[in-house]
Amino acid sequence: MVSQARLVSSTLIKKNWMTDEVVRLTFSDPHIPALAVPGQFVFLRPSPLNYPLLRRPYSLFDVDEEKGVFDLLVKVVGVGSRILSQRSEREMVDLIGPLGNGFFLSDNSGQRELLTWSDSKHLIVAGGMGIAPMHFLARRLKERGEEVVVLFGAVSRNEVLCSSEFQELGALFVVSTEDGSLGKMGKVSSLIPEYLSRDKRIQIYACGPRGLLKEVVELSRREGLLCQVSLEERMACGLGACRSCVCKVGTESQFEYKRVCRDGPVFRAEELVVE
Amino acid sequence: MGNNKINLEVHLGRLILKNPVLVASGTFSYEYTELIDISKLGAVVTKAVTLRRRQGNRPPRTWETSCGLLNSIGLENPGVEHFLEKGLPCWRRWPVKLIVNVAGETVEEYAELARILDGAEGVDALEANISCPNIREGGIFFGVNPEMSYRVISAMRSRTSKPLIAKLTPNVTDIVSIARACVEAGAEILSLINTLRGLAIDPDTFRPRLGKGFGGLSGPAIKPVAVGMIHQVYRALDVPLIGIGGILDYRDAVEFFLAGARAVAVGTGNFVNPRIPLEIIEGLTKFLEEKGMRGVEDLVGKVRFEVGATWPRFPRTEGELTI
Ligand SMILES: Cc1cc2nc3c(=O)[nH]c(=O)nc-3n(C[C@H](O)[C@H](O)[C@H](O)COP(=O)(O)OP(=O)(O)OC[C@H]3O[C@@H](n4cnc5c(N)ncnc54)[C@H](O)[C@@H]3O)c2cc1C
Ligand SMILES: Cc1cc2nc3c(=O)[nH]c(=O)nc-3n(C[C@H](O)[C@H](O)[C@H](O)COP(=O)(O)O)c2cc1C
Ligand code: FES
Repeated sequence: MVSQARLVSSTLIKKNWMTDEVVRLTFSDPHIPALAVPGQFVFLRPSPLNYPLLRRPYSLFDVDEEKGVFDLLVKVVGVGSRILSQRSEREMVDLIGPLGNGFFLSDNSGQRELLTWSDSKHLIVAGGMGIAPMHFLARRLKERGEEVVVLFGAVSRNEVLCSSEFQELGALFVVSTEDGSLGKMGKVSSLIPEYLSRDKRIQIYACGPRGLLKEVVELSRREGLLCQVSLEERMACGLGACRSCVCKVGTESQFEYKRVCRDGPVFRAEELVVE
Repeated sequence: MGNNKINLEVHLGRLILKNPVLVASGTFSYEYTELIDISKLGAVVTKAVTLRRRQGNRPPRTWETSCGLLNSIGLENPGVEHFLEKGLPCWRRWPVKLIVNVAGETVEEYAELARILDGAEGVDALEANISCPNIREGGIFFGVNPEMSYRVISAMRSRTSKPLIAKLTPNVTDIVSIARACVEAGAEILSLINTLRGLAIDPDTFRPRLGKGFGGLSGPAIKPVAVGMIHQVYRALDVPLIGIGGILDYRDAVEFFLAGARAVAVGTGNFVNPRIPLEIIEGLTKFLEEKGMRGVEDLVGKVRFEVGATWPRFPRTEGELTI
């Protein structure tokens, strides 16, 4: 697929703190909203100075083509995200995007499009910030009249994000927390079996911590479900040049390294070796 | 001032470049053509090509440090045959000079790579990476030893008539002795520096940050080391130098020219902003105009030390500083 990524300076037009640690940033940009597909990301410079040195990857939370805006959901975890979260409205942020391959139906021509069949049920499984790429995806699925269930796992209730945003789309939003402070107590993967209906084709989209992805991948292999996962790995170039961000594709004994930034971040579960 | 015509062309021995700004090995790929006009570059240096496919090291492969980047990629590449079939034809679509960086595990492998690439049209020069810290065999093992450096370069020299560049590692006590060995063996150009060996550890888990453990440090943090080594080699030998290490803007590039480099290559800077090499070309043109200079040649080696400035003394290096 020919990349349509551009090197742009986008204006931060709105900041909205969702929790103590997560801020939703809205940017205006003439290109990215029209070019992007769900699952793609942008690679941005938190500061116009050279500190921190490297760019940071962020999934597109959603885009609005008509208004020419896109949103990111940023969790403050270190120096780059802190600086980014402290940027003011009307400031310009340097970014490259949209990057990577989004959620797909892979065929040999290399075209990727959303998997949609009327007899399908779409299960979105997100752990923590793994929810970030899912709003765009859920919206596109709902626009096509699909049935969408979002299973969201957090450590505690104060980390639960975006329930109203997903409900507004018409998706069923189900929460589990590890401490039981909201929804079912336990891991989000334990919610999945309840939503596996026999009469519909189940398609799973997962993003979150490695442990969760490993469980989801194993479960979908066992049950023979279609499953795509979005991976995170350390990036330096974000474009495919440096081979920093690799993951294993193939089998444990015979694998090759693929680039999360260029060949992913979305991969089909059956091809991945999740460690 | 301002009316004089700036000519950015540089002559690195037989290798003539339209300007002195290159992109460094391992930090640039064909994907960059989607974002910048690469035909404006002085030259592109490819990621290291090896005889056979290399899978590379276990991730994580990079870790950001204060003003730097630690990496251990492990020379992941599909091998020289694949490069000739798939990589080279892509690069050849662009009117830009191409330098192919090669790495081997034995002297014979370097020689074989030189032989195979000697016939390749569209390859303007070879750069011998005798300095990679991230593979177990070969690589840095050659670059830290003058005799081994000599053997690798002379083996390549006898197999290729293309301009030959030796890329030096900073992980040595005496850079000049290695540089001299490479020139005596037939290297026409030297490029330096490659990354500095380093280690980062997670204080919580007690484990190295990189999957492989040790890595190579690049970026602005290493720039003074690189500028210093360029100047040492410039003082000792009469050979064109390509300066590499932490270059992010034209002022960084000027430092390298003043120290004695005749060209520069941007590495980690490509990750910070893919436009940096082009911005350097523009900035440099303006800078030369403002100074009333006609080309980079006017800057090369023009650093002015104070009388009595200290100067590192190493065995086999002429230590006198004359001003
Ligand atoms: C494709 C992709 C999409 C992402 N989308 C989002 C998102 O929508 N919202 C969000 O909050 N976070 C997202 N992340 C994670 C986000 O990139 C990191 O939280 C961020 O880079 C941390 O930077 P820092 O300087 O604050 O942290 P530090 O820990 O100080 O960063 C140090 C280095 O590690 C890298 N790094 C740290 N955490 C991660 C991580 N989880 N994945 C990859 N690299 C990391 C940083 O980029 C930086 O180079 C995404 C990561 C990837 C790979
Ligand atoms: C991710 C990465 C990969 C690299 N790969 C190679 C390589 O394949 N061959 C080589 O000679 N140098 C390689 N280098 C070294 C660079 O070409 C350069 O010498 C070094 O990074 C210092 O320059 P910088 O500070 O501008 O990055 C690599 C550097 C980085 C950061
Ligand atoms: S970050 Fe450089 S190849 Fe993916």
